[in-house]
Amino acid sequence: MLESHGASRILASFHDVVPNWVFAGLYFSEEYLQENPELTQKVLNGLVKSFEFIKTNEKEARAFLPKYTRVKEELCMIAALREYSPIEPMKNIEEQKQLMVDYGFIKSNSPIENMIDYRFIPEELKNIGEAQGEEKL
Amino acid sequence: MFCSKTRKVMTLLVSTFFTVTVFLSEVTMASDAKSDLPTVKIVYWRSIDDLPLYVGVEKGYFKEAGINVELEYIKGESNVLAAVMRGDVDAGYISLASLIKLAEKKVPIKVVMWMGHAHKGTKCGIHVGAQSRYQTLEDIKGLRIATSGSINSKTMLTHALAKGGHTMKDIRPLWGSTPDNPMQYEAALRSGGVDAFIV
Repeated sequence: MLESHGASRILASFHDVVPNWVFAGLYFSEEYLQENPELTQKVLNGLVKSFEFIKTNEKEARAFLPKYTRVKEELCMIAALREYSPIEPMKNIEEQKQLMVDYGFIKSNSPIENMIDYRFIPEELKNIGEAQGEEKL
Repeated sequence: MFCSKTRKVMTLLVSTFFTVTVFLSEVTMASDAKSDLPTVKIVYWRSIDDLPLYVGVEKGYFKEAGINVELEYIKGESNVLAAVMRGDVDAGYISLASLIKLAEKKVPIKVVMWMGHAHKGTKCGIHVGAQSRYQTLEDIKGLRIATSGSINSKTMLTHALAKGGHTMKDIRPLWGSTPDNPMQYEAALRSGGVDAFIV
């Protein structure tokens, strides 16, 4: 957005530094997942149509952004969206983790798999993303 | 007492009354059922990355799935985590870096899906002022860069420096600098207060 304003120039994007940099995930507490598996499932079921709508009606989807982000509409219409991949390849996750360990930001090498639970992802979402076809799990 | 024609009309009226009553009753129940949907509170970051959530709410996809999703804004991953663990909200977003950090402490949360990764068109990264003399990762010695200081940004920055043949000692990072909106980033860059941001 800064670039669009003519205020900045991108020197290196996250993708330039680490291709397919994984940003963030949607999480629940373990307690909530145990007590409310059906509600969790419904959240992810609802997102199936959201992803489909963004894919097929991107302009209309972007029109919702100003209300929630407080960013001007003209910027919302051109800002780069993420590439969606509800199941990221473990290879990418592990590479990112290894960088944090190598640079000393993470002390121990605790298994990240224990922090991920894909069982609620609907079939329709399992193959979304550029990483389709890669070994994801 | 009543003629045959009148009886027929009355029968029709009574029948219609019951039909309409039953219909209205069903409509009311359906409406109540809709408003009685269980609520799931999800934290959002006022970010473009939350677009699937906004679409789900605005297009009614969550209601179709049988839940009412309420989006709540809470700033800061640690505040969101505290709210989730207390049960004030049900779900939130977390960076992969923070998740890895929490794995060390065995914090009882689970990511159920990822919300996107960088790609060739990604504009998030190291931004320098439009007129900046810094052109490539190789020539960023002395760069004054403002960033949050999160593990995410530190890792990205350290790796970017390594790619350019530098270390953190070659630049001047200003940790904990996270303006709330693009205008503040813009003002800082234009004033020359900083040379770059990770945004």
